[in-house]
Amino acid sequence: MSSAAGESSSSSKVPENSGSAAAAATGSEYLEQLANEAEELRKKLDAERHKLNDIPIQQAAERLDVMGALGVKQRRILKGHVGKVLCMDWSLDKRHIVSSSQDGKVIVWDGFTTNKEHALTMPTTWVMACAFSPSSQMIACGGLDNKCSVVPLSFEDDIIQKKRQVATHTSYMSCCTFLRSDNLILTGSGDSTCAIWDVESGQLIQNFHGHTGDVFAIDVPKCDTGNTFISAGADKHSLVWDIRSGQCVQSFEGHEADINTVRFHPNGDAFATGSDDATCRLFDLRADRQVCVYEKESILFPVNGVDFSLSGRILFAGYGDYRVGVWDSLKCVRHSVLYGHENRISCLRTSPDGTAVCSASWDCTIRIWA
Amino acid sequence: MDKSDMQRNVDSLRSQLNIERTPITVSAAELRRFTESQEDPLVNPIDKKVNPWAEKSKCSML
Repeated sequence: MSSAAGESSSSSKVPENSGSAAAAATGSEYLEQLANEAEELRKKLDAERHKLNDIPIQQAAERLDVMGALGVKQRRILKGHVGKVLCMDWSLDKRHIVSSSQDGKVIVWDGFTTNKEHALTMPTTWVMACAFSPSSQMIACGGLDNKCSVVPLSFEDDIIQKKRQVATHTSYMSCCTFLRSDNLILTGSGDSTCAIWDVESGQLIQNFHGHTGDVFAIDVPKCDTGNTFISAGADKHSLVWDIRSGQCVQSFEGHEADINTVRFHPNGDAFATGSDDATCRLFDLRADRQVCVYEKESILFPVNGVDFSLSGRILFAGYGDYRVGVWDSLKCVRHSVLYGHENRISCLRTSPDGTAVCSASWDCTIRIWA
Repeated sequence: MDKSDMQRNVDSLRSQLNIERTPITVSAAELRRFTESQEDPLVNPIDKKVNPWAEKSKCSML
C-alpha cells in the first residue's frame, strides 16, 4: 500500500510531455520505466553534447605563445605535523594556511614566516577536510568523526574550548568550504551527499542527492555570481548543482576511476578534475562536456589535488608519485614538474592572489612553491 | 537507488537535456581570451622585490 501511495505522489511530478505511462504502472514496472527513461535521456544527452564537439581545445590555443621558463621553485616548507597531511586551505589574507592531518591535528600557519599560530587536537584522527572562513576569523574541519566543526581563531583563549559542531553526515566528511560568508558551510561526505549548513544554528539549509558513491571533492566558483557549485567522487561523475533548488543541473563523465579533486577555472565557465585514473580533465560548462585530458603514458599515479594559476593558463596537479605536474591547460601538454615531496601529495591549492601554490603531503610537510 | 532517487534522476536528466550548449570553438576561444587578459604571477614572474615569497637577501657586512 505504501508503495502505491508513493507512486501516485511522485508520478504527479511527471510533466505531460514526458511521454511516460508511469501513472498507470505499479511497483517494479514503474521503477523499470524510470530506469528506461533515464537511459533514453542519457542517450539523447550524449547525442546533443556530441553535436557541438566541433574542434579540439588545443586548436583554439594554437595562436597562443608557448609558456617560457616559470622560475617556480620551493620557497617554504611547513614542518610540524607528525602524521600524513590530508588537507590544506589558504586564508583570503594570502598569507595564512590551515592544514589538517591523519593524527588528528589542525594547524594554522603563517606562510611567510612558517610559524605555527594555532595548533588544535581534534577528538578523532583522520581530519580529512579543513577550510578558512572568508573573514579569516574562523576555521572549519572534520573527517572520520562525520562532523564539520568550526573554531573561531583568537589569541586570547584556549580556542579548542570554542569549537562547535555545525554539520553531521551519516558517513565521513571528505571536504568542506565556506560559502560566500562565515555564515554558511558546504560539505561533502562519504554518505554520497553534499549539504549546506547554517554556521550559527547548525541547521541544514539544503542537501544535494544525486551521487551514487562517496563524494570526495567540492568547489565553489571564485566569481560568485551564479548559484552553483560542483562536486565529484567515487562514482566518476562531476555534478553541477543549483544551490537554491538542490537539483543537479549538469553532469559530466569521462574519468575511469574515482575523482579525488575538483577546481573551477578562474573564469567560472570550466573546471578541472583529478582522478585515480592518473589523468586530469577539463570540463566546459557551456559546451556541457569534457574538453581536454591531461595525461602521459609515463604518469601512472593518482591525482589528489588540482588548481589553476590566476589566469587559468597553468593547471597544477599533485600526484601520488610525490610530484607536482605543471600543465599548460590550453595546449594540453605538461610544461614541467616540481620535485620536493617525499610521499604522495594529498592536496594542492593556489594562493588567492595567485603568487604561490601550496601542496600538502603524506610526508608530513606542506610546501609553498612560487 | 530507491524510487525517489530515480525520479529525481529522471527529472534532473530531463532538465539537463534542455540546457543551452555552446560549440567548443566558441567556449574555448573565450577561455583563451580570459587567460590572455589576466595578469598571472606564476606564468610571468613578478619582480623579486614585490614577491612576498622571494628569499630576502642574507648578505651582511663582516
